[in-house]
Amino acid sequence: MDEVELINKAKNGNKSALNTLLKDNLNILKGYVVKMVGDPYLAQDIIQDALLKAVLNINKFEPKAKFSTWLIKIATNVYRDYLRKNKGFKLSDEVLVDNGRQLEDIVIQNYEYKEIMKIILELPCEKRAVFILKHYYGYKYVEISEIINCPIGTVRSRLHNAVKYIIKEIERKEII
Amino acid sequence: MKDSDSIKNSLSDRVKNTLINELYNENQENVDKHIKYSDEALEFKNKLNSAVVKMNILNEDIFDFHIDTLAIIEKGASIKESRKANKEFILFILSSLIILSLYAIAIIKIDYRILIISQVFIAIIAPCIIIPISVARRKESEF
Repeated sequence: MDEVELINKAKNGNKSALNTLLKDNLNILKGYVVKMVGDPYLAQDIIQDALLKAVLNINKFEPKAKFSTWLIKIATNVYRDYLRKNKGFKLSDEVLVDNGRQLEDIVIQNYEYKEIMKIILELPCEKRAVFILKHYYGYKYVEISEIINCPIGTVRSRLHNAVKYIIKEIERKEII
Repeated sequence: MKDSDSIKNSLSDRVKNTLINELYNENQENVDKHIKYSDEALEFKNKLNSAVVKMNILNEDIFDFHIDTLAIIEKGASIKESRKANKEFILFILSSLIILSLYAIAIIKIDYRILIISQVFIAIIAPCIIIPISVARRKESEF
C-alpha cells in the first residue's frame, strides 16, 4: 500500500493504517531527533510528543510533501518549544553497542562519536537542523526552508557557516 | 592593506561556499576556475572530504529505544474524544444560556403566557423533527 493511500485511510480513522504510517517513518524521525538532541531519553520524549501531535493533526496533513518531512517539521517545532522552556543540554554517557568489533575500535569510535556529537550540539539549534537535514538526509535547500520556515538564502548561509564551524572544530580537536 | 585582506577573505569565503554547495549538489556560484582549483581551494576541499567522513560516524544508530506507536495512537484518540466532549459541553451550556435569556426577554417584553405557548408548541413539534433525524442518523452509521 502506498503512502498516499495509507494517509487517506488514516484520515478516515483507520488506526492500523496510521500505525503502519508511523512505523514506516519512525526510523528517519528517530535518527533526526537523536542527532538534534544528542540524548536518547530526551529524544524519546520529543519523538513521542511529535508523534502524538501528528496523530492529533493527521487531518491537517496535505500530501504535497512526504509524511516523514511533515514529522520532521513537527519534531523540530517540539524541540524548539523544549529549548524555549529548558535551557542547556548534557551529552549522554551511553556507550556504543558492540557489533563484534575489537574493544579498541569501539573505544576510538565511541570517542569520535561523542566528539562529533558535541561539535554538532554546539551549533545553534537552527543551524544544527539545517546541517542535519542537508548532510544526513539530503534535503534540498527549498525543502529545508519549508521545514524550518525561513528563506532559502538563510538556509544556504546557515549550512555554509555550520560546515565551516564543524571543519574548524574537527581540526581544533584533532579528530581528523 | 585592510581592504585587500577583506577582499581576499570574502573571495576565499565564496570559494568555500561554492565547494560546500558542490558537495551537496546544489546550484553553485560562478567562481573563477583558477581560484576554484587554487591550492587554497584544494586544501579546503580535502578538509571538507575528511570532515564528511568523520561526520558520517553519526549515521550509526547507537541508541536503541522502543517507541510504542499504537499506544500513542490510542492516547491521541482519547485526547480527541475528551476535546470533543468538552466542546459539546461548552456548546450545550452556551445554547442553554441563550435559550433561557431569550425566554426571560420574551416574558418581560411580551407576556408570561408566551412561555406556556412555546412549551406546548415544542412538545408537539420536537418529536416530529428529532425522531426521524435520529432514525436517519442511526441507519447512516449502520451502513
